[in-house]
Amino acid sequence: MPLDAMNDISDEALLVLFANGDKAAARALTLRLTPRVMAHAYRLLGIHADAEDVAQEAMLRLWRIAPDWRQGEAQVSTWLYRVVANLCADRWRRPRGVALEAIAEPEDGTASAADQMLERARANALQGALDRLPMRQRQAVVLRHIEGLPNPEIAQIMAISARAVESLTARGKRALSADLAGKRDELGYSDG
Amino acid sequence: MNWGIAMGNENKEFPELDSMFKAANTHAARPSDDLMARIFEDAARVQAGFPTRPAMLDVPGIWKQLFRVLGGWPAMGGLVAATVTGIWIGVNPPNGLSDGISQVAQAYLGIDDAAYLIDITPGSEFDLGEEAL
Repeated sequence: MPLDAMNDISDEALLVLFANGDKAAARALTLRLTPRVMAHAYRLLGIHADAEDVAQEAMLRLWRIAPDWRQGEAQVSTWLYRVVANLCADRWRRPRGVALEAIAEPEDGTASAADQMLERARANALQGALDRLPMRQRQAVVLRHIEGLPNPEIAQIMAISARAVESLTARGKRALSADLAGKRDELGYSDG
Repeated sequence: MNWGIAMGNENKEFPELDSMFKAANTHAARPSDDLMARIFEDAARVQAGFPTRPAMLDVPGIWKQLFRVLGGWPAMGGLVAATVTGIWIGVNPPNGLSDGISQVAQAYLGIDDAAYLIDITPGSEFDLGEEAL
């Protein structure tokens, strides 16, 4: 099946095709899911190389579970977010001494160079503040406010109640606000 | 439920937090070409080791879909009970039901002769048999 024809196929159906040996399904799933997995891993870890290792491992686990995937029980993306969180939690337990890396990415041509630099500075400052949050608060804030997931799905990923998600995100946002309040000028918010 | 009480107050010190989230979403870390290549290789290697038996997409059949549309087991229980009760009333109507039917027939159809009505109460077939003789 051509790759374009797979755009309308659900992740779960693609996983079944993958388990049946369809190589195009493997390619479609990789292109669709890896950017989300990578972005999420980086937001939780703040280190690009570690995030790449986690992304590769999470996708490898997806490939391995494909023949045994229980259809209708969970969304593939929800399952992946949970795997990424667990892999990141393993890394958080290890000693960390590497400083935060700035996100390097190509210009997309949709904004001026100055605007792009400012946006990137904001993204990097937020990542630095996220890195200083406790693990669970960071995970809840990232899933809710950056990934944009609904609370019930976050509750499923984190294996906690929706109310606990609310509490974690509220505390996380308060901590981020306090952390970033002193940097308003350098982040370009001083002139209102 | 008062989940919303805390919302909106947590970033009072830094109201631009939402625009920071937006910036983080726009400038997400992207996978390198090397990572994508490694993931493609992993997929091919794992896929090559799969058994030949194909996995099936779980699409429910027509009866399963009808069963779900009707409301599942609770609805089925009610449906079966109503069916059995209807059959039983038809086979063995309670006393007074036949009289009631006759009155309704007379009122709506103007039927005076009860012979037009079919009486399937036990024993009536013997009366009809004797008249034929």
